[in-house]
Amino acid sequence: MAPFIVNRVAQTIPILFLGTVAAFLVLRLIPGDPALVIAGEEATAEDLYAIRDQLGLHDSWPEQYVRWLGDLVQGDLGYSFTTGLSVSRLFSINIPPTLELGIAAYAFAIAIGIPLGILGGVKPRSAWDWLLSGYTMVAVGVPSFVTGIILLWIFAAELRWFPSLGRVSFLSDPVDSLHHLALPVIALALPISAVLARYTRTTITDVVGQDFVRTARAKGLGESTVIVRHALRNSLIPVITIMALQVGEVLTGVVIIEAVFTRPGLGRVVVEAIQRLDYLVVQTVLVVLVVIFVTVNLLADIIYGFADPRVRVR
Amino acid sequence: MSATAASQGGLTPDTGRPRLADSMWADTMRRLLRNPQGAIAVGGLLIIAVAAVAAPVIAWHDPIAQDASARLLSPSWDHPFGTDELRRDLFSRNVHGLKTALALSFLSVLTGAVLGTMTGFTVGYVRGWADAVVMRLVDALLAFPGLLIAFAILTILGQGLENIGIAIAVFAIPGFVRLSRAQMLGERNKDYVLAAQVLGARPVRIIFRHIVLNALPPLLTQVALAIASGVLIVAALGYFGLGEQAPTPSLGGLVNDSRPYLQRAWWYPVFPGAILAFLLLCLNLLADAINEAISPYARRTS
Repeated sequence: MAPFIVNRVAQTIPILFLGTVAAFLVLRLIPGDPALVIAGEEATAEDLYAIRDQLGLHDSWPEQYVRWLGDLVQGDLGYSFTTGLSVSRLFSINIPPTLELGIAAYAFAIAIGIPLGILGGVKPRSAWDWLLSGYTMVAVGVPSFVTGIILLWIFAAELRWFPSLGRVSFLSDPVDSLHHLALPVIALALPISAVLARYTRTTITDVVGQDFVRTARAKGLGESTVIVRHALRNSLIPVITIMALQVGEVLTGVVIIEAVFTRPGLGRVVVEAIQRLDYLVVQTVLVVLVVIFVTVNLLADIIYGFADPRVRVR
Repeated sequence: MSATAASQGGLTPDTGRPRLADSMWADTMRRLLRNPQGAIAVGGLLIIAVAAVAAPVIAWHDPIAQDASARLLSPSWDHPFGTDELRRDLFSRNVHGLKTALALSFLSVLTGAVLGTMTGFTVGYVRGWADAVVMRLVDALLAFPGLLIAFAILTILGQGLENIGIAIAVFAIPGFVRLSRAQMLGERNKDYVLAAQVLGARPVRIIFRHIVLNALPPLLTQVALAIASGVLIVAALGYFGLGEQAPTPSLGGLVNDSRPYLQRAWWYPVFPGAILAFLLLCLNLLADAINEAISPYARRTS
């Protein structure tokens, strides 16, 4: 097991490295000048020079990159170009709301998607299976911002059951927080739950058709034992991989949903920072997102290795 | 022997000789259309494509002229999808938005597919350090949230249709590289490749003449899925105001514009939302159906 883990960890290092390079380069390639954005149109050449000097923009790109990465691994995130706020402060304000939304939506998607997939997969062509097909077809197709707007219209504007915007911290008032979270969570979780349900169903129908399941039935085990002890155990392992990949959908979806429901959070921060050419904020947020995604997938691979010894030998 | 081969299809009468169109492609196409899901998907996409191509003809009002008799009119015969806050015909705006979204995602995904597939086939055949470098790059690209890549590219290159196209193509490439490389790895050690090598064929000829046709079908599923995510990206960019600039309509933009009028004009967000949902549904059904048509023994997945 240890060589497997070491090998997998070693494989992620170049990905993370390339991720930081890409995050750094993406904004440098923009033809705009952050100094001009900060100083405004009336700035003199000296003003611009001073600002660029202060931000370290006169150094070559490799120098800027090495300095940024060096600071980053030492835990120094630096200061936003445009607002002057420290990036770590920006994070401490904006990560909790995004985390609430992301985790709640992810948990909700799993809670809906996997049981639906199991019910449909165990009995193909049953009523559950038809329900599953209908659900996945609709849920996969509707973009999350459309779902969001429709939910806002029906449940916030017309029925007034839920607030239409804003966010309440879960730690200060859990009930009110969930009340604000409900609509954004549904809009974000719907397509993700559909993907999970569809994939779970496929792996289950594959396993249920295999010989060892027939053997279990033939030796007289009850249907529930066959499904839970024999079929589910084997079929849910591949689902781990898809669950980890869906974290990427959550990270993207959060950007859209925060805009639709005007919630504060990392998504809003990064959209605004891109528009203001705030290099440091954008590249740091991108790196954080990439690190989260890569780490989750690494963990999924390792868990997979524990659950299914066959993948370790490769 | 030939009789059984011909009767497998079931559609054409058994004439006792092999059908002329017994190629893998014709076979796949036939299976695709015989599958109800596939038939619905192909039919739906045909309707959408015709509506998009014929947009200037079937939308009898100008999409940007402010010429309706009133603001926010509910749907009527003259304005089937109602009008917006600036007295513009929403049917025309929807159809024109659909045309842009469809053309844009189709063309850019095709471009990305060609580039990605050629790269994937090449590194999968050559292996070695080129393979390692390309695959690490692909892994890194796949780790980025696609929408943020699109945002960044649009900010880098400026707004405009061709730049949205570039963003979608770039987003589509890594998936195709990964899939086509995997296909190539599965094919490259088969006997027919060895035969071609023994006969002295050069790598370019082996890849693009011998292997490609066998490795291509599964990539079609990916094309349908990539067009679906392309449509989603165009729509999301439109929603954020990064797509087609004001007065030109976009489906995502229409949904965003409708926000202040949700309670007064249900038709304003519902029609573009429904069009997007229908288009994405058809593309997903098509991907499923292609998948089944390629591997008829695979279980139905939905």
